Amino acid sequence: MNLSQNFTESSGSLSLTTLKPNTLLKKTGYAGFVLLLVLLLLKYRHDLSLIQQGQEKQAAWEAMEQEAESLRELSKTQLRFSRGYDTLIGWKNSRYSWAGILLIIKDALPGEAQNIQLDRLRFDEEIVGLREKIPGERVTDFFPLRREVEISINGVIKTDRTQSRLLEFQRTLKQPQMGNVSVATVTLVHSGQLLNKDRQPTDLTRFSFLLNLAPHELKP
Amino acid sequence: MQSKVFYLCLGGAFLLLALLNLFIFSPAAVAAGESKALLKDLDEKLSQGEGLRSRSDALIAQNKSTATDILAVMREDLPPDSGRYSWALSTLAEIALEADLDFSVSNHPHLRYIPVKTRKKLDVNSVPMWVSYAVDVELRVSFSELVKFLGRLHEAQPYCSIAALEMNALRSSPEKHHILITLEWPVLRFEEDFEHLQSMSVR
Repeated sequence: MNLSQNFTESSGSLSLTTLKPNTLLKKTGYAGFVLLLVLLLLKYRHDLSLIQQGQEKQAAWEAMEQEAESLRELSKTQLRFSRGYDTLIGWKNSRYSWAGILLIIKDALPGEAQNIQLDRLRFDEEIVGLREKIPGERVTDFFPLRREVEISINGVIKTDRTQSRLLEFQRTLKQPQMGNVSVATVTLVHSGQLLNKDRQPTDLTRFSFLLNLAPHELKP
Repeated sequence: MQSKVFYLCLGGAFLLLALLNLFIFSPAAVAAGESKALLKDLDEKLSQGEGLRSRSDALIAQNKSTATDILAVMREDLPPDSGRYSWALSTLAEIALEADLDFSVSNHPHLRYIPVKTRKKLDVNSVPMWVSYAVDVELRVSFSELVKFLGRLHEAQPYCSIAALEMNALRSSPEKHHILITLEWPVLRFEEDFEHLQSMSVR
């Protein structure tokens, strides 16, 4: 009537064992399932570990980005501080020694001391890059800093050799000077004989000079 | 019957595995694949950036040292942030007294630097950290007294510049001159620089 009955009839007990689920097949099924499950679990575990590593590295990278940002800030600060310190040291070292300069000018005056009188000596040092040179100049980009000085000297000299005396003064000042001071240019701006009350020329001559000292770099 | 149950269980188990794979294992594998690519990329970057921390430490140490040096100069030789005029007066009085000179001091009436008009978009590193604080000193002295005073000032105040000088002869006493000197010291342009220096020096 059905297939199992037919087999039972023709081949007896052997046919019965063949019809039951095979133990080997069963075992193979279980083993296959377990193996697959284990493989999948191992792969899953490996994947999870990769994901975790990725997350950790991502966090490390973000921390490093923050660190890089703070490093950038530190570098900017270092630049400002080191420039500031250099400028400070430059400020100190680039100063003109005015006591020395005044003595140099005094020593360069031609002729006898009683025959020459300085009425006025003035200068106004400019730290280029710190002070405005041209009205309306841009307010940024101040570097470099450099000290520049123009000295004006007005006086009266008593001599009958005015030109040679004034040239002597000019020549002496242009000679290489002591210390860190050197005179770059000396210009005779004006000289004129003074007249007496009868409008007659006297042996007194009024003169004015402009001296430019060699600039001193304060902050290159 | 037993075999049907067995096959049913086995089939169910494989179906469960398939479902697990579809909803859990496969997305994890995709994420792991992305993570692997990310790891490869980040490993290179991280190895390049490994020196950052040591550079950062070195920079902090450098900043601390420079800030300490600057603050030391400010404390010793520069006018303080508040009370600059009285500081200048007492400093100059000490020098003038040594040379036995009468003098008067007043704040210089004009700025001797270009002020920054706007801080917007200003790169602070484009402007010097320092500007000048200036005072005018008036003296009636002989040439040699002036030279002595200037020499003493140069030595005693290492950051003081003689910014301007005007010497006029006095008709009333030919030995003496009327002298007007402008002195200037560097002072910080921005207040935050001082705060920055202080915070860096104690790190």
